[in-house]
Amino acid sequence: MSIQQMELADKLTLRRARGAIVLGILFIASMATSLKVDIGDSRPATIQIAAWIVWAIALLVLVAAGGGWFRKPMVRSMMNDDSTIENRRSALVTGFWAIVLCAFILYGVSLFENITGREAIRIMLSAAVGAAAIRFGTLERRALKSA
Amino acid sequence: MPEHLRNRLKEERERLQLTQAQLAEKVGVSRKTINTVENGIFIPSTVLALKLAKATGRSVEQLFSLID
Repeated sequence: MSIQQMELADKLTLRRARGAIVLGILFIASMATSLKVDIGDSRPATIQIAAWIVWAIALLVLVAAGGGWFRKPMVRSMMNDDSTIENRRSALVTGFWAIVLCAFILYGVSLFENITGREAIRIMLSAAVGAAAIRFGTLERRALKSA
Repeated sequence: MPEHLRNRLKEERERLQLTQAQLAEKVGVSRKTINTVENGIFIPSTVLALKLAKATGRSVEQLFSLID
């Protein structure tokens, strides 16, 4: 391992952290602005749902696997070393609590408002994936900051 | 819990006149991990603590101790 590889790993880690925060916020925001969209005959709505699924999977992969697949194994291993694994664990716990909280809220709302199963799943998944991505990004950024 | 663990990693690293990156290179982790351990954000695993001890020429107990 060289200092250059370490600097590259740091740079990629910071980029990943920023990306996770920005994409996580945008993901939740885009879900919030398209709540009534459901799969139907309308082609734009179907495209929107398909885009949401791709985005959700991409964010999940970013948080769970860390990226850097096309880099050297040493760089990739540094991007996913002990502190990152710990941050990833914390982020996934945050995602779990987000989905639980969301489920409680949706249950309450469903007593007064009709919510389809598909819509509820989309909201819960968006909350979980978005919260996990934002948490992962903020923890990684904090870890990169010097004392 | 981070607040219950005292570590002397920064002092030992500075004694050896190493940068965080140089110590990270010796141990085989990222600079971020060294930074988080020094700042008490991340509690290292047993394996990492042993590697850090070896790299600094100290025992694990000399590097890390519990706050009563």
